[in-house]
Amino acid sequence: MNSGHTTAQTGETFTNIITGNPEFSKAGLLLGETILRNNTIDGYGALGSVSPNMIITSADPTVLYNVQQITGSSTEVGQSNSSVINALRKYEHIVLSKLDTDAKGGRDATKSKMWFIGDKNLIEAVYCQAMPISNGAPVEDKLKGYAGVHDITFPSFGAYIYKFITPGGLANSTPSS
Amino acid sequence: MINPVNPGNKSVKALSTMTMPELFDLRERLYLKKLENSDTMKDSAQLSKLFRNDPFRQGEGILKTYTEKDTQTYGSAQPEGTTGALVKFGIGRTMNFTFVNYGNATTLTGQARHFNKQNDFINSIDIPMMLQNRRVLDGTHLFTFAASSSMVNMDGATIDLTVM
Repeated sequence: MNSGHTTAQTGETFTNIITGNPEFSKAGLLLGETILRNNTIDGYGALGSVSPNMIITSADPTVLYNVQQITGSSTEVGQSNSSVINALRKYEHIVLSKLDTDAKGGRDATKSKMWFIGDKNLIEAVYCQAMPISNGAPVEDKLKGYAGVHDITFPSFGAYIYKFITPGGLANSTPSS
Repeated sequence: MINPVNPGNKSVKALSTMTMPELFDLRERLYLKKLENSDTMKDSAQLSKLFRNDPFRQGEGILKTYTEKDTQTYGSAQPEGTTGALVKFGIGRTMNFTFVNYGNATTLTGQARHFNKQNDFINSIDIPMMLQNRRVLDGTHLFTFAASSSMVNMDGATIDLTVM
């Protein structure tokens, strides 16, 4: 995520960071939509089309509650008139339970409140698998064993890469707490 | 672990590491499975909504290249008697990358096999699950560290995140 991405042909800058890195809220979500709309531009700087349709968060209980209440309620949150529709009821909530972890998989509480807004049709990210995760053939070591029963080594392996290809279609907020 | 010399009472000891003799000490053991990463399959399904599949296929090389392509969005005016302006076409970022190999192995000793301790082995060591956990963590961490231009993963490799 960068506030200074540049377009290839015109050098214009665009951002995919939600200004001020707010915690998830109705106002934060609308700001995220605005950032996404204003910064979805092509290589020549022309404004593109974006339809935000997903929110990515960790499994932090407060964040889960807020996302589900704000985007899942049939009427707007805090609205006493039940005939008022909830205009934010259009999102798929994608929960990545290990989003708030450090490089080794330990809990990183500073990431618990981070969230993303995105358009599934615009995100350009690939999962390239070269070899599925699988068990290899067991290898018997005839030089090691006990009472004529040999040691056996069991290997497993896989090969892949995850990559983002472009910065478009996604905006992020990483609140400081 | 359960201490068999103290019937009726339980002795619990947390081991920071477990060596092969402890693992196959020829006593029955009870393993706590609930701490295993049960979120992995759910997260894997979620990641599949975010990342498009584009596998490296056998015989097609080990390098992939992605290049952004752009054309102008809006058509141009064409004054009478002139030829239509050629459209603008340009390329943006180009990314070259290859895959990373992952693998682990473990050994079932002849002694463990002789004393029929395979079940302990099978119940406690699930390498494909470890690799699945790692795969899901790798995909998730592209988002976790999105605010940074790079990250150093648990193997010490630097992952470039500038494209995000």
